[in-house]
Amino acid sequence: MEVEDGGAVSDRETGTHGGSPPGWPAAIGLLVTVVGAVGFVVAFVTNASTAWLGGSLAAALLGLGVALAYWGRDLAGDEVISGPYPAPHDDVPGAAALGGDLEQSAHVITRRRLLSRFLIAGVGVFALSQVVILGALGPRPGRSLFVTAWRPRSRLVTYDGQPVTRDVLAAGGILVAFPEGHTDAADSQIALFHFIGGELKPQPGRETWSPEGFVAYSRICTHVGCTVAQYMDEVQMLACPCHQSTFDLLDGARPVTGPARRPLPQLPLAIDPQGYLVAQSDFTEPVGPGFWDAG
Amino acid sequence: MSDRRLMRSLRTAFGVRRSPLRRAAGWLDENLGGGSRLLREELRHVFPDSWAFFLGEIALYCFILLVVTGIFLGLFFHASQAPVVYHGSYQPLVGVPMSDAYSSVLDLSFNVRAGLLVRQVHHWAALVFVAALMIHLLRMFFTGAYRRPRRINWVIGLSLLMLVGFNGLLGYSLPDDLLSGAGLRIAYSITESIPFLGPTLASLMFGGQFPTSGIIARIYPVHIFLLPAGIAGLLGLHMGMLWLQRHTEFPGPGRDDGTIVGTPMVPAYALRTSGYLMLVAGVLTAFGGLLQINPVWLYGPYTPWDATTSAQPDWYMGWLEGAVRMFPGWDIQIGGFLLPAVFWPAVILPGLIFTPLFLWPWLDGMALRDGGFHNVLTVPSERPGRTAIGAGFVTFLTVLLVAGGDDVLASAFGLSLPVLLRTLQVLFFVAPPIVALLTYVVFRRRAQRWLATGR
Amino acid sequence: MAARREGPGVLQMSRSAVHNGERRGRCFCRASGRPRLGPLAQLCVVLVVLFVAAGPAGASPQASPSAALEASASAIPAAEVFAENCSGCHGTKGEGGFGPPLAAAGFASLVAPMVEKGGIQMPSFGGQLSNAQIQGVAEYVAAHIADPASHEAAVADGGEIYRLYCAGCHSTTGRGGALTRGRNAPDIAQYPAAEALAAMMLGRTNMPMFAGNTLDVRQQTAVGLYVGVLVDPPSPGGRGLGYLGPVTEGAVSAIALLILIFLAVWLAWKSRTAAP
Repeated sequence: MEVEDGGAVSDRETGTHGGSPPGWPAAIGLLVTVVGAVGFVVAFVTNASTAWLGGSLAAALLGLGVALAYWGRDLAGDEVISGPYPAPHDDVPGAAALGGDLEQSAHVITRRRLLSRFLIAGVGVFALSQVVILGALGPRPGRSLFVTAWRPRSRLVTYDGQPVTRDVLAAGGILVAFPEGHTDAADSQIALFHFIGGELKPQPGRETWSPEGFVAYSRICTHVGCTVAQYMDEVQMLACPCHQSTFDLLDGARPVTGPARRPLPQLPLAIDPQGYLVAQSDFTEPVGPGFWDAG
Repeated sequence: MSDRRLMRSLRTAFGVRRSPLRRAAGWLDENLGGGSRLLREELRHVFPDSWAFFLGEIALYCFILLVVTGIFLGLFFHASQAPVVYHGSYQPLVGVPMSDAYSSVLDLSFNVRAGLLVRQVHHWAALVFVAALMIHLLRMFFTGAYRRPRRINWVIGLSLLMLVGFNGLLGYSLPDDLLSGAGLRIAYSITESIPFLGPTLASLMFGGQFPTSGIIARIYPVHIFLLPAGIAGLLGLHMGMLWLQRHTEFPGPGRDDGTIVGTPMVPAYALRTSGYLMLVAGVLTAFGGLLQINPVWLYGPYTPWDATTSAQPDWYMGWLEGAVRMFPGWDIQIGGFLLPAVFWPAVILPGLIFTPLFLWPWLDGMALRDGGFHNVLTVPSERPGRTAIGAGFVTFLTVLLVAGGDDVLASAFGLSLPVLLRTLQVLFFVAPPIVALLTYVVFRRRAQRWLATGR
Repeated sequence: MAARREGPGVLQMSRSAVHNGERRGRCFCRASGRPRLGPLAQLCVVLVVLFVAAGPAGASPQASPSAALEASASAIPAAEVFAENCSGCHGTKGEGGFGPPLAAAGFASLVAPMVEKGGIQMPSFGGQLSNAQIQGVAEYVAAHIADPASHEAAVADGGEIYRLYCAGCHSTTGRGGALTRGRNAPDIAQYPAAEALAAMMLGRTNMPMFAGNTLDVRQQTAVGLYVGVLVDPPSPGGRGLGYLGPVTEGAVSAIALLILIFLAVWLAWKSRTAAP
């Protein structure tokens, strides 16, 4: 062993009594790193696929990782040392002194009791007052959750703006529709159906809402707001793909299974003299999931 | 030895008296006003050795990888929902109107070199990050590492888990694709369901009634700066405390609450942990290069009138999704007001899960009447009660997780979805206590045997 | 030397020994001087298998028949092939009959795979007709039998319509999904894309009729083209993992975690008797 200037000893080259472990796994790792790194450059320059880019880069990283890990695990030797854990109450006089110092420094403030109280009140009121800034983040909901873009005599149009006439939807089909001029109104989307066999059950107070067997419901699920898109033709149900709430289209879209509780709001329909389907008015209840004021 | 002699001769020949490292140490002494003694001690910082102690490092290195890949992504992503018409290289979407954000992710995936690789590494790293955090937390739990003086560190760690999970949710919502957009809608509705304040809170968070044109731009600074800064800060505290308090150790010869035995920081441990960083990065890069994840071009841009089945959040939110699926529609009418059913599984249940988790070190201390300092871990067999509670808790979360993917499982394995759902609802109540009881019996027997025979 | 021997073969040094500059802890020998190969080799094997299995290009071969055919392949004109094989079910002018009408079959790329492989109710003709004949009749149907409006279909429009009407049941990736009441919407990627045209026209058990009702001919063809993309979707990112979304991705990330834990076990593995 050698003693260098400084007096400290450092001789770790032989990790064991019997000779140091061979370094070839680390060497291979570093070789893989070099190959991988070069491969990555080539792959990048030649605009190779993600697999080649990722594979070469991964090889470079893994090679380096194996080399370093192996070095640390085997070549650095099985050195074991011990030491003390920091113990509680290692320095009780010191902590007491610190406590005393802190108290003394704080005494400047605490000895003026009335002013201290004012200070606390002032800081507290100031801090609370800043909460109001959160109000800038967005508008109050107001009536927006109760109103969609449907108005009396709004014509139904398809997603590409074509007005819906009575012959667009033969029996047994589904059509997604919006109010005319508002094909971007997410809360106004409806699903239109056409039942001609008289199988539609009349809902109390809504007898005039489904002319000639056309019936329209909001497509926003009353559970957590996903788009109710699964039309099951055999059983005339509309189901939601998110959590499988299922609504009976022949019975006012009331939920028959799944976590939804409220039926899908129905849009009152009419057919105008030119044969276009129109809405009689907006929905009579808020669309989508429930909330506190929906009552 | 001969290397040293050779170097010595060379240095003398070139007129250099001391080795570079010695010169660096001298520089420190001259310029930084000391600290040599402290640094020398810390070079010999003792790290106990166990594979179980690497789990936190998996999480740490995933975080580093996420930051590095995230910087790359941030140079290309447009956090704007301004409508654009796509004219890039992915044919099935050419001419389709979409947000600038989604279009920029398509460009990143198809037109930026290594863009898709970095995107996929970023996403895989996020999934593994949360998984590693959970495994790390379970290791802490099952070995009693949360006891004094590490109770605050346990709280910091749990906070990290929550921040990371939330940041992941925000992250995969940034591309504004159909799948994540549907998730944002659900998040909005869950917020709405909070009594009294819900609709206002949801409107403040999103900037109006869903869908808003500013939500992506709002999520962006939270995801790339605010939460990562919070995570980095807490992580610094977490590791600082770990450093000062020293790492816990498993029981063994020469080890007790006052003595730590292990490997010195330099050189062995530093080498190993740097190697592990490369290995973590390498494995995740391999996944990112070879296994496709989140193919947003197949999902399409988010439009509020589109929908897809097999719609799930990323796996670490699956437990919340499962709770929402399993909970029946028990809306409550209170006079003229409505308390929607989803409030209970989506708002109250997470509180019920996390609150006892946060309080666990104190609950455990009170139950065992042991609030003392512990640096030596207790293996699971030593504490059959704790192990049983932990096993029951894991079972509970697993049932929720499985329920979150129930439609995919049903269609993939040809099961009937209503039957599967009903089974999971029953298991929700029945499985955790059964597993806890079985675990208790098994581990109690092991503990008794261990006490009798000495291992 | 302030070394103390404690326990079975573990040399320990107190920290004070470090300050005195004494000789640092020397450790006992490894049982054998040779390093462990098993875990490392296993890891290499795993990685090589992953890399090779994924394939460098990440692209799958095309499903539809190649367009390069011998010019003199078949003396029978495509119209006769159609009359002999197709008109029995689809009608002499493709107006339908036992089989659905062919108005939306405006692209040879839609028709050819269907003719070759068959669909749910349509038999496959790949055994009876040569590739040249299949391609020929596909082009004939696209040019002369299908409605001219179907030629204007664009795959991007098809995607928009697909996500509006179809993805809710069949998922954006076409892999199908669970409906309620114990039903499933099928994986449509397992059939040729033209099967989707048939389904839109005829309706299926729970699938409504989209043709003529919801979608006109051009829209149906567009959806058919888009379904063709889903049958063999581009996966530039590597293996598609089943295209089932975050559920499988989460399961696969567990594999990544297991690999990393395995590496941690290797890293901390010790040949000497130390505490775990």
